[in-house]
Amino acid sequence: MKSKATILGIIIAVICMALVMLPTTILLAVGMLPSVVCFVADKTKNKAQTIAVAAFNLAACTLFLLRVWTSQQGLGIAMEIVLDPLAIVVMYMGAAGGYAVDIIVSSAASAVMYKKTELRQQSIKKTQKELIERWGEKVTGRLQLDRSGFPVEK
Amino acid sequence: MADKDGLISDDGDNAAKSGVAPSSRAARDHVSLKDTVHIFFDQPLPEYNTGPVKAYYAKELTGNQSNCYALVCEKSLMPRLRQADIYSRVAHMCLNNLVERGVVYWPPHKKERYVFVYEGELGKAFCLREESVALGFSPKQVTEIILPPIVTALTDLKNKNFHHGGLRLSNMYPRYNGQKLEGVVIGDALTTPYAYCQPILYNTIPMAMADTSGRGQGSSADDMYALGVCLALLLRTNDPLAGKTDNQVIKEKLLHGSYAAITGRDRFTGAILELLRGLLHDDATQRWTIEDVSNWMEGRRLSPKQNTKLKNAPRPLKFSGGRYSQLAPLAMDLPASPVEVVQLYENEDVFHWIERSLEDRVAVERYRTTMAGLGAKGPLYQEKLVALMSVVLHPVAPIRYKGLRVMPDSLGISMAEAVEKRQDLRPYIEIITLDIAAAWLKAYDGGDMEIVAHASMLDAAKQYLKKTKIGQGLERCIYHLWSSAHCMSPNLDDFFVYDPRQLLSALDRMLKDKPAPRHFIDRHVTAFLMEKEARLIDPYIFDLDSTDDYRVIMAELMCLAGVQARFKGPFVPNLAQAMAERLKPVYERYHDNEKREKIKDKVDKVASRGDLGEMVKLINDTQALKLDQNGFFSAMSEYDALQKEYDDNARFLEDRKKFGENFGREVSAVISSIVAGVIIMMVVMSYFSG
Repeated sequence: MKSKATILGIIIAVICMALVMLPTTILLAVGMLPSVVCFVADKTKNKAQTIAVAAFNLAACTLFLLRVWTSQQGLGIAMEIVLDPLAIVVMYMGAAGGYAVDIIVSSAASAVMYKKTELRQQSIKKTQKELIERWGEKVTGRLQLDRSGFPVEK
Repeated sequence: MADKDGLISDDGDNAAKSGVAPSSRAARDHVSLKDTVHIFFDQPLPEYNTGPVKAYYAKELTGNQSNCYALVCEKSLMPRLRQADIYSRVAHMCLNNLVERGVVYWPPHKKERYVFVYEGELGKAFCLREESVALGFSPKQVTEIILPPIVTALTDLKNKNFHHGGLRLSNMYPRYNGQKLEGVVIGDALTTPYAYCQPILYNTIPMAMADTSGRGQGSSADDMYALGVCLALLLRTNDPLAGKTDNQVIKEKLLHGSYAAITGRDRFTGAILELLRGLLHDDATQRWTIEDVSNWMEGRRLSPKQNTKLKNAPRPLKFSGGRYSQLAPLAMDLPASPVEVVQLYENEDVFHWIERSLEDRVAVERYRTTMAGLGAKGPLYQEKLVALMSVVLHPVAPIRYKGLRVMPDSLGISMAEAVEKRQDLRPYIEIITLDIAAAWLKAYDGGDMEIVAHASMLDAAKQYLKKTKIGQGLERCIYHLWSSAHCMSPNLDDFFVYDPRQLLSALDRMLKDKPAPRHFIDRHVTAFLMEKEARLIDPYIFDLDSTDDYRVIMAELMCLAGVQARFKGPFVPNLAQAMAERLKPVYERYHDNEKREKIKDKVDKVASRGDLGEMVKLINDTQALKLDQNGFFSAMSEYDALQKEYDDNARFLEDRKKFGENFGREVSAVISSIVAGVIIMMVVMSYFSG
């Protein structure tokens, strides 16, 4: 009950804020639409892709937000911007840039990780081989051993 | 064995005392014994041969460098080594002085031999061959010149519990001063088992019935009998037994008594008659002792009892074509017709003959007691029946079984001889396991209580034969019954090891010429050590019988190291290196291969010095073994953890597309956030700066 009330409180607070800061809300609602779509579609852990896209999307919206915030007629400017195709393209290109960065960086990081793990696998095999060389095949645990660690002869 | 100078290394008692092969050497015509005597193997002295034991000229190197003669023992004939210690402590002008004794490498046989070196040149014996000897000495010569020194010598020997066993005219050497007889020297008594070389005539009736090596350990009564025979042969003028076979001689003695059989037509009177009757009495309990002879020499007159005549049955027993009226002659002939013996027994003919015709109640009781142990019919029924029947009929005679004629107290010697001669040992085993020897001892009614004392030894021997484990079995039985036996291990065939301290040195020298045997501590060596120095091998018996190679090898090494420590050497590089080569299973007790290699390197270095004790220390380090074991289990855990990690990684690596996706996206989120932050900062700054 308490959590529902909290959520309800936050929603009411956001709505209030949105009404108070209506030009900004309108601009972000339109400009950040790719991020919202990404959020809905994002199945990655911790919504990492959304963070990447949203960060670039927000950076692209910054210039227009500044114009809204620094003008006397914020709502008019905001409406002007959201109706300006060029502004929309700029803001959406920011989101696209976020997508691109996400794809490039995550692929590169994945490749590095893959290679590193492959090297680790080789290292494990090498260490295991050294263990076998030093302690014999019985160190693998594949043989039945007696209490002293020697193979039990069948 | 020959070195660059043509010298031949040998061994001897020094080896026994120090455990190190002695440094004594020999040239091409002689061997050296302990660097004190040279024995010339190209100069035989057949006149001093003792039966099969050959004599050779020898020269003493120390003192007055006098001439000597050496008797080279046959390995199979078991020289009397323990008695040699006693003999060497008796100094008597009538006994040939023992100069030196020990083991030498004997070039003619290319093997080691035990050698006794006696002082001086003895001249000629009373007779060279013991056939038809009747020397016709006067009673005065015999009683005043020959007898007194012999009696004092035998008294000295008896006081030290030494029985001679070699009193015969071919082993007695008269000493002359010009033409005048001055005394006599008695020859060797040590090179063969007791009375081995004695002709039948010189043996008491029971001993005469036995095989040469089965005549028992002997007693002073037996020596006195032989002395009596010697005196009779010196005195008599004719040989009533000339041309008779051994069996006929024994039967003559049985039927007429030894005195009558030996003296025949010669008539002795007075004191000399007493002496001969007393010494040649067939009942050992009635025979004169050395004290009796001394008393007689001092003039006290004793009247020896007449020989008890054997009981004669009025109705003879028919057996194998012969007619027997007495027990002993029948007992003698039983083994020749075993099938008839079975018939006689099953028809109870013998029993009825003893009971009704002989009326010998003692024999009847003996029959009942002894034959009760016959048991049911089986594979060895006939042989056992003959043996037991022989015991019943003549309880002091040797055991007669499957062609063997052996006194129970010489079973050990006979078995040892059979081992050396590669003869069948089954009859000996059966004598013990079928309780024939026990039955003999139960029925024995002679006077020698030392024989009866063998009952417990035979019991133990029987127990050993029942077991097959190393340290038990036939080998242990032999060494138990004949504790003076040398080690008869096939590995030591060319060596003469009669003391554990010689063992290492012999094994080491053996390895110079031969490949290493499968086991250094074989069944013979084990049994030999168990009887001679049990504590050297007792702790390792269990492991020696193990099926695990490493246990056996380690037990062998520790036992040999124990021998080395016990006798303070010698270092044995050949043996140590041979042991080191077979230590692989022992090294494998270490899990760590690196540790194995390190230990192996160290052991190999120590082995080249021949230090067995240090080898054991290196290998048998319990602390190191514990650490190794702990290290192994840690390594196992490490391997397991690595395997788990590998398997996990392998599972992730299977889908390359998804591998690292989450991580990559997180990285991209962070990077994007930072870059976007920078862009926002730059936009804000550029906006406000115009």
